[in-house]
Amino acid sequence: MEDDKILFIAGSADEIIEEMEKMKSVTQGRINATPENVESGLAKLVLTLIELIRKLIEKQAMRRIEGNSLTEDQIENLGETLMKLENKMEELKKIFNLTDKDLNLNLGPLGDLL
Amino acid sequence: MSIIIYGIIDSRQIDDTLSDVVNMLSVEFDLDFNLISHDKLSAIISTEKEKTNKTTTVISRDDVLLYAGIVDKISRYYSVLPMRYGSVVSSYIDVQTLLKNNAISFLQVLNKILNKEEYSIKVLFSQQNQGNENKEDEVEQFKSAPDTLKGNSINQHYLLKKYRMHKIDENRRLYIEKVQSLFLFDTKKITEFVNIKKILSPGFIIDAVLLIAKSSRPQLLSLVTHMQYLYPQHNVILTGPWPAYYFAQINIE
Repeated sequence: MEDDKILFIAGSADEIIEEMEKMKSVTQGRINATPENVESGLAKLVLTLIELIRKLIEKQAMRRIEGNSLTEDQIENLGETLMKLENKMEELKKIFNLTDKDLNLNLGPLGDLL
Repeated sequence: MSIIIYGIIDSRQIDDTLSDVVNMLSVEFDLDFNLISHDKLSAIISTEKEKTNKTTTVISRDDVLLYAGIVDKISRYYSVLPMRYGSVVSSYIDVQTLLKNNAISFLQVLNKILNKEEYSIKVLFSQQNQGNENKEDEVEQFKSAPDTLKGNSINQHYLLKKYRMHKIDENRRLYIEKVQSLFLFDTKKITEFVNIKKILSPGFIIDAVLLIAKSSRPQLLSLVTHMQYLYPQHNVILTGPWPAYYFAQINIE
């Protein structure tokens, strides 16, 4: 960006540059399936969708906790289930050599999936 | 022959300075610039002779930046409807056909952006302050957590951790909404053309574009200064003026 286009800047320039760099790298979040890497491309897509559903389940669980509608037994079951789900996802990510950053799709003008 | 179109202007903006501007562009960018008009519209173009033995064109970042630089330069003199990189036709008649077929929509957009400028405002969370805010939030979240989560089992501990994160996210979302609505309230005093991105990257509080009258620039600057005064803990950046890329989007026929 040309310097004469920056009319006002306040705060940490380093942090601003860091955020801009993150925006520039949004294309890395796209699924990149080719004949050579179709297996990992597909695994990435499937795990991203599973992660999205897991996060939605988690959100819904938090809403129920906030509503105080769960008994102690239900809280125990819920905690165990969500913990196992998260652990299983960690296992799958390791198997397919994926990180949290990989499990996020850039949906263009709609923003990031997760 | 290849004709590259950079932008469309309302012919009524053209005055005696036009030839100076065209000459200045030609010298600065070492290209053969010209103006093709049809009725009330004019296109600013450059012509290039077809290179022989060239079957494919490789687009480089420099080419795109050069194109954007030319459009930006034009926008300093005229209210221009910027064209996209790759707007290439093969004859002057094609340019006139483009102007003729899209005259109504071109004129509508040109009226909207006449004597106006586009700016971008970004407000970002500062990571330096974020750490302290999170610690304060965590203490608050523990106090307000439901009693069913305050037991000693592993499952309750796990859910309590998730609940805290959920509350921090919720508070952050509410805070962003509050800052955005205040920003919108203030900018509406300057212009009706404001767009705030609904879904933001994690570090952002506001990512907005505005189209304002050239004469409103001092008000915009004082608005941004006031924002920094209100939110000294955040990073604020104002850039522009840009060609009206966001507010001049139309589908060309």
